Amino acid sequence: MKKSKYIILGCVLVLALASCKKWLDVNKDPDNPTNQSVLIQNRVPWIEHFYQYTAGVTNYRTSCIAGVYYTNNANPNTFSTTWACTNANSTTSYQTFFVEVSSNLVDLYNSAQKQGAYHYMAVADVFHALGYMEMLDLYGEMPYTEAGTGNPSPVPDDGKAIYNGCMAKLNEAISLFAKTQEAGSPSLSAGDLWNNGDVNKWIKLCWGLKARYMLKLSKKADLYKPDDILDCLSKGPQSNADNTVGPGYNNSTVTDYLISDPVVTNGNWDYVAFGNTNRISQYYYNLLTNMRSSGVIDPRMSKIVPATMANIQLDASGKVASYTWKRSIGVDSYNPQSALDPLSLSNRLAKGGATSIQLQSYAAANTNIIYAITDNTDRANFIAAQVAAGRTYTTTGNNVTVTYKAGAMFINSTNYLYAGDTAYVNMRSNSIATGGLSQTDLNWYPTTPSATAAVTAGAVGSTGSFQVHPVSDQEIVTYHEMCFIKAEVLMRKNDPAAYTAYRAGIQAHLDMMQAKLTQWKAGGLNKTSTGIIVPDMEPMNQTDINTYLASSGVAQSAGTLTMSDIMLQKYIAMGCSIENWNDMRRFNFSTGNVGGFGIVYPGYPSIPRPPLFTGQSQLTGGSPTDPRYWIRRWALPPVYEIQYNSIHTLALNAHAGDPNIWSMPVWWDCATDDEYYGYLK
Amino acid sequence: MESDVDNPYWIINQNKLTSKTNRFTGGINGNFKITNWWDITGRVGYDKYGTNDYTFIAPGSALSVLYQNGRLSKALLDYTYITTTVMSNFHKKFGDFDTHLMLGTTSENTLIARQNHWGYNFSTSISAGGTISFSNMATTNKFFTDATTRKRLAGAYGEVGISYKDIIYLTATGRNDWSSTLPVENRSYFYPSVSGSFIFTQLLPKNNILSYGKLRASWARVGKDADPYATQTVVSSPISIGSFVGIGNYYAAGNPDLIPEIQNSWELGGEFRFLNGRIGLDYTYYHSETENQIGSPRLAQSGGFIFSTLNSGTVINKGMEIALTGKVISQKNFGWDVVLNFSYNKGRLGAFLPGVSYFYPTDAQFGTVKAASVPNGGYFLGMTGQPYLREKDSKGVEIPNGRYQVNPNTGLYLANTTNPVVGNREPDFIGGFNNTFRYKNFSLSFLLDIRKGGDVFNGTEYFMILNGLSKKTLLNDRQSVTVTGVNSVTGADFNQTYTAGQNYTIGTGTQAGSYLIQQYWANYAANSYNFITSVNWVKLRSLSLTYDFVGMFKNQKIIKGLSATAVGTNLFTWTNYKGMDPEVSAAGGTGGSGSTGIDYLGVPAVSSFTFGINLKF
Repeated sequence: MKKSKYIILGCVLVLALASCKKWLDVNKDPDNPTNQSVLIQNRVPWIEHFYQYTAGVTNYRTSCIAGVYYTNNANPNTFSTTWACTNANSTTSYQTFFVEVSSNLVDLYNSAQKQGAYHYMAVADVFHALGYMEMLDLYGEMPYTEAGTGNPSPVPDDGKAIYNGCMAKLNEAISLFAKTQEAGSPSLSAGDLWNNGDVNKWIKLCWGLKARYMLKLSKKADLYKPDDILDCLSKGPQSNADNTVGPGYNNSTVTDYLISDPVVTNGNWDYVAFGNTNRISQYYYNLLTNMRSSGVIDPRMSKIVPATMANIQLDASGKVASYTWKRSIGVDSYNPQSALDPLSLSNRLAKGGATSIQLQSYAAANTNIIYAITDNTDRANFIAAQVAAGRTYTTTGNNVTVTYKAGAMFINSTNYLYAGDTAYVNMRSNSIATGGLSQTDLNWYPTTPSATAAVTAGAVGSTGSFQVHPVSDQEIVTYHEMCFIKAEVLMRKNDPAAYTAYRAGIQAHLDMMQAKLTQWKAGGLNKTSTGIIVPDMEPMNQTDINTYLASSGVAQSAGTLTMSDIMLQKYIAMGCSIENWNDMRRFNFSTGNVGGFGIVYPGYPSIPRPPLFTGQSQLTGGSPTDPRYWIRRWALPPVYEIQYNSIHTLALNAHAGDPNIWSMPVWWDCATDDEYYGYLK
Repeated sequence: MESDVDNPYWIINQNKLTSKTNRFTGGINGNFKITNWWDITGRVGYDKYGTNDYTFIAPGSALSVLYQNGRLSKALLDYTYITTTVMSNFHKKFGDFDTHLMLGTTSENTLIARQNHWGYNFSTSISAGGTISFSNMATTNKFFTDATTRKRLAGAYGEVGISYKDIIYLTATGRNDWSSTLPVENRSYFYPSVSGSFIFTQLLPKNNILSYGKLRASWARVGKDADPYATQTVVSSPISIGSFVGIGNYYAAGNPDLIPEIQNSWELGGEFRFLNGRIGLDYTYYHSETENQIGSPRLAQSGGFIFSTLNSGTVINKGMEIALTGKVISQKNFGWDVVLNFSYNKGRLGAFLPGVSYFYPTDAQFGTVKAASVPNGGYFLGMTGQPYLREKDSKGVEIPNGRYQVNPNTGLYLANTTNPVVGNREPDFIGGFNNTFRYKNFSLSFLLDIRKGGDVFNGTEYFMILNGLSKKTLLNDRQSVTVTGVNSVTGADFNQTYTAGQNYTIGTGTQAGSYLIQQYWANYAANSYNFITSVNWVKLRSLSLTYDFVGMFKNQKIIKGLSATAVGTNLFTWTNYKGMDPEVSAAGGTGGSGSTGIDYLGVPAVSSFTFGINLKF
């Protein structure tokens, strides 16, 4: 008995040891593939989408700085209205680039290199340049050489190193695109969401980016090379057919793994027109209706500035029978205004508060609102406004009761200061993931006080804006941008050919918009679900275009052309883009002290500060000629970077955590390296 | 509606959230005596539980537009854990030496299977009789994922011990583990230990004063492995855009070079009994260091990920525990026993990743304060925050307890935004004092819980000050506040009172007095030190009274005993903390032990009263 026990025991132990290794080999996740197994043709669409996303949030928030949009959301409102910049704005661009894109670039490049897929390596280089240049434009200094590789506390690089690194990547990309891929590697068309694998378009994209980036050095006497820029432009996009755009779709409600936004939509839309917080700003509106003080309406205006239905008459079943389109006006954050002045739309923010613009509601039935107005002048002005709008009202003492008829758009608040906010139409455009009625009806219908009344009636609350529909193209490098870059470079050389480039840019932009609008009309996006035509989604009227181009809104000869003309037309064409803020920094906003060109962005507030300005701690410069008078960069996001990496961050830039970091110029915004490194000390 | 907030009554009455767990545990033991000096013990343990979570969010809830027509989710978790142990025990006595040897192996096998079904948008309205089920949803609105996790560990160990009479005991152990969760080249790790004790009173003549005394010492190393799949970086679910499929990395990075955590600790101690056991004293001093702690902390996202699994740093704990017991009075009808405990622990973070000045093991960050561990010997349960800047001397060093700097651009105190350490949440010491009184059949005992030191951040007061709800903000009936200090730019004296109704020139603008008074309180809230207290407390942790009905059942055959007890817990707290209860950890965010010492809208510990009857058959 004893012996058999020993034998059994011995066998069991031996067996156990032999199978031990195999038994322990269970550490491979059976449900989630590892990153080693991803095909390069699947990496590229991911990178393209998430680059669009990080570019979208960046475009939106920097457009608030540049005066394109107003927002009533507290954090970006510090960009659009009060300039008391807050750290909460810094997080999304940073996180969505580093977490969603950067580590995938490294994996893509390495995997592609193993296969000899040179085009894919080149695509990784292009996104490397696009992404890190965005980081440089925003934050100035950022981990670069040590980034994206899983190193949890990387050492940052300064702006000069990042810039040179990105330019080197673009050069490498150009040479890699020119090569033929090794046999067996997938063709670029298998993964290219943007250009369908058209290598020539990619090469032109690279040259276009080089031109854009080289222009950023315009303040540096030693590094600004206009002839090199013109050379790059000659190899960049030559027509709208060469434009690189990222597509946007409205055919899926699937949301992404990090932020939970739809994965198929335009990145700019995800921030500008996803929710209810944004409006056109007075500054942008002015350029579209009164360029060069001509009073001539830009034909693009009705496509860019949203409109709401107004003067709605309902039929017996409560549906819209007749209506007019009421175009939005711009929210004014810049012109002097005072809370003590009598009630009028020109002092709306001063009287109501920086973030007080209200959302439009829809009256399904006659609705009475009682306003208590103690100030006599205000009450008189208020009553006059009701009369002008044709609304019935009654007064008892200080109370004015206004009746909003069934079908009216109104502001559902008893605060009389807000009652006129129906003049500011919501930028919102609906996707099927955010309440949209169908894949083709992108219009927004008010959902207050009733969630369904406006939809049932077919009462459109906003027609949205050209660049920020879910299905809009996200412009990456366009021919019109190339034209305006050329115009600026030639203008700096006093070359009269700048005028040709200026006109070409305007024409190119009009053509691009026209082509897209034609496509949308053909796709049925110009109709609401009830079949009402939305002219904002249809091509522009050729007569309007011709009138505008022949008017004084457009310079008519090289002799009358100014730098301001070029940059303001570029501003309209770029619209929701970080490039507007980049350009404004190069021209010192509205200081007027660059190259003898005068004030390039007139109307952008310099002295006095914007009326609701509370950014004294952030923008500490004493006068407009002091670079630190303006918003020159974003603070590093404390809760994602500085908090976890402070030793390295402060070693490079001792002031990265200072409240006035917002006014410190980035490397390309300084004339000399000495000036730049002086700021960092 | 998507930006609205649900009414709590809606949530209670309309939504339904349940969780149900079934658990089965069991084991089989066997002991086989092979010879009189060798026996084998075998054990198999089995633990299995299943948890079903059910969540129904009613149509009309304040969610994003997509989900406003209802949401349903069912989650199933199936956990199975099987262990086997086989131990061979040998004992032999050689004269006065008693020896034993134990050799054993163990295996652990964990399997976790998860399934998650969820969907939204009920096709037939629930109120119109539609069922709350997945059948009542369109196929495109239904989703399913599952995940399986496996972990296996094999260990082989041995222990050898020798003792001489009843005087000296010596034991040594060694164990080697092989874990599935570490990379193959690092998956085996060995950890030994050695301990000894010496009952020195056996060598001394019998003594009524020191009736028993033992000294002991030990050193031990323990190894620990990682979570399953921590060595891999996985990818997210594919996304379809147009005709293309995109796949990219998940936001947590794995680490293919993980090594096991190793904890080295040593301990010294003694046990002493005096007066034939009337008085007892136990003493322990310990020092423990855990190196290469495996964790997935949040670190700089410029590395490409939000979380990275890594061998992060070294945690050091050292401390001391003393217990004193005594039978103060021991008579037939009356007795009084006392137990007094005292202990302290000093937790420190050793080396950590270079470049990281503070390690944040939890997300507990409220107001201006963050729960932080400071590398290179700093506090493990530390706290970073934002104090006011004090006047600097000629060398640019802040004068301790000097006057505050005032920012001329705001007219208020200037804060130090470099995030310095502002406190240590670990107590200086803690103790307990337990008394039991026995009188005939009554027994009364009470336990006092004592603590000295350890900072607590009163986040509730911070929140109230910021919102003007604290009584502090009623200073001077909100009509005036005074700011005294030095101008941070010029160094000149600064003394200014702001009164409501007047205007003041601040920097380049003019501000109203009432506005400045509001800003004063926001500025007050910006100073972390205004809310940090080094907390001492004495808590009456429990008080209990028991009566034993001993005499009643002498001749009974069915009921053998009956006693009744009344217990109250957490009855009183005497403390210098001005908030509600200093014993809370932060509510919201990441709670748990990592956020101890941060009180943010925390609910105090509950006092309870229990009455019980104990019946013996």
